[in-house]
Amino acid sequence: MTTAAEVKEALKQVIDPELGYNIVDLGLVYDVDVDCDLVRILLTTTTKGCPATEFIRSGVEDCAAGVAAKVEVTMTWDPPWTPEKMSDMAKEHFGVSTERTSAWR
Amino acid sequence: MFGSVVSRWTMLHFWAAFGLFALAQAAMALGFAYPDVPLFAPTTLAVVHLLTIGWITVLMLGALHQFLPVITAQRIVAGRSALISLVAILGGLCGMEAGFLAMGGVLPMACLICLPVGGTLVLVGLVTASGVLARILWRTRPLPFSARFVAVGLVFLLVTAAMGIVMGLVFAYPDLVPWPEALSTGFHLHLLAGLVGWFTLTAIGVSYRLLSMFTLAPEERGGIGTAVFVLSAGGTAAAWLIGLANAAGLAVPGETAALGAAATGVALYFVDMIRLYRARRRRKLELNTSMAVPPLAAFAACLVGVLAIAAGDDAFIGPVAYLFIFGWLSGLGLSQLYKIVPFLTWLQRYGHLLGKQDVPRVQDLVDEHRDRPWFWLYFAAVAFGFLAGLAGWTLVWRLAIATHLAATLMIARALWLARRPQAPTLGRERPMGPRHFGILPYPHGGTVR
Repeated sequence: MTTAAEVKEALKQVIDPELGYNIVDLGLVYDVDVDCDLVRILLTTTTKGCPATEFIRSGVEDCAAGVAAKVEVTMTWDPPWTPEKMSDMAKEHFGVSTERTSAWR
Repeated sequence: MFGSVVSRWTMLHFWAAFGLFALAQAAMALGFAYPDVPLFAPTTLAVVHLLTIGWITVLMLGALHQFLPVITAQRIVAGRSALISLVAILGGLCGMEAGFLAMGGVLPMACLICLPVGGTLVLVGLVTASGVLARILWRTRPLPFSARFVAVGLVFLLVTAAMGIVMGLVFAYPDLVPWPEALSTGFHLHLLAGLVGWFTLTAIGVSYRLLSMFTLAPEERGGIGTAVFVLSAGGTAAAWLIGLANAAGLAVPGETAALGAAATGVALYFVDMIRLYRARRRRKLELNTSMAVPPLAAFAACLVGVLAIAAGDDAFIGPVAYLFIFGWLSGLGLSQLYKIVPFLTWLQRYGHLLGKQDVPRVQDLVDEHRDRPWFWLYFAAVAFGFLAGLAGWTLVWRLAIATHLAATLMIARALWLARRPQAPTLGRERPMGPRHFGILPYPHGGTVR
């Protein structure tokens, strides 16, 4: 049976086009629930109204379908995404920290 | 749903706007308009309307057709009406240009009729576009923070155009208009509604949303954001209404106080933009967000210049108007187009391939290293032109305009290339196995990550 870790690894093929980073490390995949051959994925985008939303959702369905028989993707914006949800690697890539940054860099 | 993620006619708006922007700059550089001829000469008015209607208004409407649905999290509704609107605006603008050239003696005086007729056609186009955008706003009530600025801006857009038609009628048929003083008293209200009410309030609203989105800064602006909206929008609306009442002979006091409130709101906007940039989580800025800083600085300089003009120094009017249009509005427009055009291109060409095969990032469609110098050249030329204008060096000013025309064309070329990526990886099958991001070759100096 497919594990949640395998599904998440597969979803790393999908990027957020504007940030240019995979959606798993960005923290856009809120939950992966494996129930026998059904995989339920709870997904968000960096901002509600993002014009790439349907493409990301479709890409997630396609990638997950490569490792699972049935896939169910649900979009949510509650709670809204924040940069704090990124993995440490993604935070390092974008220079995300809790410190304030220079105004005009 | 996929068919509705991109506003179909937005790119046509952008290319038309770019063409008219280049035409207006060329006319100024070649001496057909200000600064080589007086500020209120007919040929200058022709170029001013090329810039304000043909460039900035068309650019903003094209961008709003795409991004108002993003701001409000609504579906895109601009279909054929966006094209009809664009055709009406451009056709009407051609008529207005003929009218202005008739005023200047370039065309026969009979063509003067084209001024109010063309203005009416422009208004038809603006009403059509505003109707589409108003539908989106209506469905979004209560309006999100940045959309409130856009809503007020759209009202001022129609007010500006309607006033413009009245002024065109006064020019063409002074005997038919019962208020011959409409031209003089209405002129500053036309400027206030257009430059501040439409352009600035809308640019403030859109910049709040786009810059917070692209820098990963908090979108919630708190009390200072509310103060910016109340003071800038409320102050502008109050000043316009009081000005109108005064023009009608009612002698209503408070116009200066209302303008002061609007200026305070704009000053608070600068403070809030500094807060936004300081609070951003994306430490390394991309070109579109770093190049949004010079326009903000230009806007701040304009505010100081307006205070000098209010103190009675009319010599500032031309250079400050130049800095406002080329530094603030055009600079912000160019910098944000550098993100918007590649984003639209990505949505149209690569969105449906996401998860199925390798796709580039949005930033892979441009080459920031190649294009950064053109942005700096643009802003340096505008700064130089502004200073030359203050010093009264007309020829140097025209050279500066020619320089930022060249920079504009190079930025347009960069966006043209972004629309035509030649991706060597396209058509590949989905890569086997999971990955974080493999590095693949990509044109324009970028890589697919």
